[in-house]
Amino acid sequence: MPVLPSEIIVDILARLPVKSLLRFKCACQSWRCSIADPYFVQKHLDRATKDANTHRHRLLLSTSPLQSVDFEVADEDEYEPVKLDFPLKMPQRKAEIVGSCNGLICLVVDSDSIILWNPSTRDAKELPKPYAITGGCQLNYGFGYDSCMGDYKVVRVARPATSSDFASTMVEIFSLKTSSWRRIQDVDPRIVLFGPGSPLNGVLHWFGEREIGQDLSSVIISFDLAAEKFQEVVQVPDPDVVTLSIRDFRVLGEYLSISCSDFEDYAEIWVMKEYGVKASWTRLVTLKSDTEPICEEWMAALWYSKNDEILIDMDGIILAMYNPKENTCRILLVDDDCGWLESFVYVESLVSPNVNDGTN
Amino acid sequence: MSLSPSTSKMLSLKSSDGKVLEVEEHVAVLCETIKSLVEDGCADSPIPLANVDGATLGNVMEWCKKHADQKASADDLEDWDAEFVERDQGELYHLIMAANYLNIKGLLDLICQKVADMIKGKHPEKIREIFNIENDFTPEQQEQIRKDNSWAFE
Repeated sequence: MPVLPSEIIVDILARLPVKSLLRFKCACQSWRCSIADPYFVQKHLDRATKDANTHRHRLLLSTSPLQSVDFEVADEDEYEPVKLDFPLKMPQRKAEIVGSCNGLICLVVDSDSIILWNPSTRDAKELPKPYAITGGCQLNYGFGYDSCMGDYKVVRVARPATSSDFASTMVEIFSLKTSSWRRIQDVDPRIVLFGPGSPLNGVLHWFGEREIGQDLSSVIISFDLAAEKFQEVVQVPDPDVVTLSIRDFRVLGEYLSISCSDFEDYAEIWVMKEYGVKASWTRLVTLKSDTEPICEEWMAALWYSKNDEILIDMDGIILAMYNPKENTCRILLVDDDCGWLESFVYVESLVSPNVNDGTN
Repeated sequence: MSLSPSTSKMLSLKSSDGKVLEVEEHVAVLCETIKSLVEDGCADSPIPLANVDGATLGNVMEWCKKHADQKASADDLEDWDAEFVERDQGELYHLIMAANYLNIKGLLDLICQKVADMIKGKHPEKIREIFNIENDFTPEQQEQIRKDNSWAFE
């Protein structure tokens, strides 16, 4: 083939999986530069996230060793998990996945070491330690992208385990660009957050509870990564709307979503169709006992496919693809070895946690 | 715009090797380059296309004709496109260059995707062969890049 113009070469390369691109860095100097170019990295990411014909979503499983599953493959027999070496160092005790954004995974290892990792390029960076002493604190993390500054940020919320009138919840934020932590304004210690935050359009969201006197009310707390401010703009549906117990909260595609169940044989997934509008909470699917399998205790909707299928995590044991149109469920994998399987969806990308390292 | 099939007139397109192709206007305007000429009233026959040879122009217009057909369903087009791109590298190259020159986004997308599927998973040596690329790395540089991404070569 005679030589193609460089913009066409870039167009072709942006359609390739990361593994091929890492190989093609060896083709020649100009290809290596093109593939490392931040503009190309963004173009490749955009195609992976927005193009309906590009299947670049993967599931990261918190097994030991970690595993990645290409759950979008057309052939059901090919759900072969790929084993991944743990980035940088093996955890002594445990590793927790606390975020996934633009192909980067945020891991907390042995409770005090934070690692940003791209499982597709295997590129990793251990972050400097945050300042705050965390003995006796409940820690919640959030990881996302601030598109105003073009910066990846990790937020750590440290709430004293025993609330007293004087204790406050300390918030620190890490910027990948400056590679440093900053303490920002404390938040009300009467707010308790659950689990890691989920990013949606540059805003992290946590499900939580607020203590009002002796009562607890459910809240969704948001944190704008650009303004670096907490807000409570998102309201949970009223108990007479969602009558079941809320088991999980996260971002599902373009929506905030909650999963709830009756602890027996009935579960629902709800999404907030219009961001910030309480009345727009809509039931997306119901799972009844006639849909095999069924979760027993807990479930989470992990991913919403372009043809409306939903990837569901049941009890941290079963991962299944649910088709609401046909009311069918096909099991992708069952893991009853490790007790509790954590799974995060990530997109294959070239985004590097080592921002200044575009050389290889 | 009155570019519907019923009112469509014929345009003459002249390839780089002097072949003249008569094409219905509503088909030819899938090429943005030709559409601009028509809209500016500069589509005097025959329109010279200095960068496209006759055989390639024929193939491009075959694609445009299919895609201008309002009756073709999305599934139908998908199957037809899949068959259309079953060509050797030389033909694909000429089609890419023509689609780029004539500014036909749909066709350019289709061929770029075909080439991407073709080269996916291949080794760098094969890539250099396909794209006529000269290896301008020193052996040391080459070894280093391979080492940094060794798992990608497994």
